[in-house]
Amino acid sequence: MLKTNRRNFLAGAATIALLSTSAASMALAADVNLTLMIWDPAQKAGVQMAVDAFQAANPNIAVSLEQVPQDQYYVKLDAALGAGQGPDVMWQSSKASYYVDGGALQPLDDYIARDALSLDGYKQVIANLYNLGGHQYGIPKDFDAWTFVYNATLLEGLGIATPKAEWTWEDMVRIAEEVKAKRTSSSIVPLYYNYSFNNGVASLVHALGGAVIADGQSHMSSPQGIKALEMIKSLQDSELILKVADSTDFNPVNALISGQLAMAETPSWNLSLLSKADAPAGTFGVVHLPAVNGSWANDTNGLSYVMNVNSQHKDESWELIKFLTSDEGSALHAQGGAALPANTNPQALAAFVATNGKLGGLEAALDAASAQSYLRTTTANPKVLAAMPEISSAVMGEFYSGALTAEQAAQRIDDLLNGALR
Amino acid sequence: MHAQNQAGWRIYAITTIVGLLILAPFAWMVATGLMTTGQTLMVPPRLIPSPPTLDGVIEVFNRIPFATLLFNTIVVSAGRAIGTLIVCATAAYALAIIKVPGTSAILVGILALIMVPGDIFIVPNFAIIASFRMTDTLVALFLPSVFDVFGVFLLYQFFRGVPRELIEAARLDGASHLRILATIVVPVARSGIVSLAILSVLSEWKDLLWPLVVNRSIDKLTLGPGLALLRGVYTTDWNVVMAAGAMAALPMVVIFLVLQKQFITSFARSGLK
Repeated sequence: MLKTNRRNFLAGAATIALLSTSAASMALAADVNLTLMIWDPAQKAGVQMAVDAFQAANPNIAVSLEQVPQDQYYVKLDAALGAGQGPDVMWQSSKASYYVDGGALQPLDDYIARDALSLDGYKQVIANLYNLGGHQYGIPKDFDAWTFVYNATLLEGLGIATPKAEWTWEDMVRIAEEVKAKRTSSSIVPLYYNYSFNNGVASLVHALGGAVIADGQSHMSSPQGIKALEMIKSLQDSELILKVADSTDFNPVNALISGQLAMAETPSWNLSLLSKADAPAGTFGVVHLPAVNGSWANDTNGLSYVMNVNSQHKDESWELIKFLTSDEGSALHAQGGAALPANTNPQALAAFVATNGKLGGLEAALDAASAQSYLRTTTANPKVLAAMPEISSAVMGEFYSGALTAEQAAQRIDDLLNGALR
Repeated sequence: MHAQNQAGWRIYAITTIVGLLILAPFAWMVATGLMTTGQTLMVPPRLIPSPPTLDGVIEVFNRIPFATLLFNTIVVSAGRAIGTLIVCATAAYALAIIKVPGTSAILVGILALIMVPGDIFIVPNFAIIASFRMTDTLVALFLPSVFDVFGVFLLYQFFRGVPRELIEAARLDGASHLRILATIVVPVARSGIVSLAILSVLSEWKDLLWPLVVNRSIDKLTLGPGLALLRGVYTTDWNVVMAAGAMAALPMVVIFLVLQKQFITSFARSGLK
């Protein structure tokens, strides 16, 4: 009797356990779990704010936000997408074309048409970046703009007038020389100018009226190309910027915050780090890049949200992408700091400016930056990405150390870029 | 006597200098871990925190689930050490003691595989783990590494040194291969087994790329990738990273101090470090 009872009890318990497990899994099945993968920890808070709002509006969809360190982001993506897995929604950059060629990304045309989403509401140049082979694969998230940030407290303490909104390359050199002459310690660096080929040098080429790549050919040996190289090298030779060979570990944002650097060319994605720093309002001021022959040029690029072609929840993923890039989502993201929204609704830019309110002159500097922007060389021509490591190590390194003349460096860059373009 | 004293003094001096050189980065890590972010940005850098603060340590616990990561690391390291020892010891036994047909060809294959960087296998390993539906699990962290060709080669060298007479005698007495492996070969080649266990634990402890690739949730990661998440893309709070680094290294230091004698003996015999 006891035996039977025990057997019955066990059978009953097993049935209840089974039923409850299947009930639980049915309850779970009603909810959709999406994964969203990003790389920048500085932007995580902003993205999370937008994700929270999305979840509040869509209680049946749960979003897990994963931040993977940038160095490992694409390795993880390659492994996961190759195995038919991976996040439902992710960030993509100018490398998107490789993933489109590999068939890993979902074309969004049908969703865009279904919801009548207009891409006119985004920075056109960034939206076009993710239109590959006639299909739209990404909805723009942000775009880059370069500004000049100065430490007003440091400059005023040395009795030097701060840069004016309409300043020029000559003004920049003059102020940097004044800092060098009046600084109280040799550890104060007068200037940080982006010396990399893809950003600083290429921007100067464009500001001088040239182009690094035009008609499928590299033009660094043009007068503008050689002049741009010489202009940055002269900053190093007159000790206004640190020697390039000693700059690899130099962090301009940290140096501005700690009062060890007077002025720095600063990308938009670093501005929130300065505004979040523990410095009183009025410490930092922002102006656009110094004008060269009356113009300046900003290299720009922008990330987008894309969908995994293997996602099991494509409709929900699209809803997430649509919300994150919407006026509301962009404004929330901007409130959390970090990147400059690619959504052109004034509300989004206003949120970014308000969040970084401690940086004086920011709005005017950003307007000026986006007015004179061009698509970054590697963004416009992803093929040349492969040549960049060799250009920076073998050519630019030798050029800045004096082993190559500007003409020789320009010629070698032309050879490398043309080789990659072929 | 005098000359001997002088020689002893010189050895002490050299040992002290080398010891300080080795310890300096570790001491700097601990010192930076006890600073505020502001103190870490000072130019010239300060070596001694004044005043020392535990802000960095507290921030580590705010930003990452340190205790979970430490627990995972211990579990995964133990799993990897045990798995590696079982796989490598049986494989090495087959090659060194049984001498299965084609042993030389297999050894050439093993040597060739040792020369290939492990990162090459990340994508195929992921595909295999994904096909088992095991991504985002603790087992996925160590399963591919238990098939360790270097471990097989190392134990093969040790097992070759086991006297044949012992094995033949055991065979005559009717012992199975598994019994011979467990009761004769492993005890005789103990220093090799211990060396391999230590190397497995160490490499799991500091593994970075594979855990980040195969797992998604932070509570399924180990200390290496957990620490990497503390690094920003453009700015990093070094006091937080260093505090986490010091705390992550601490268990290994304690284990070494406790098992110091065993470690040194086994490495001295294996000729590895």
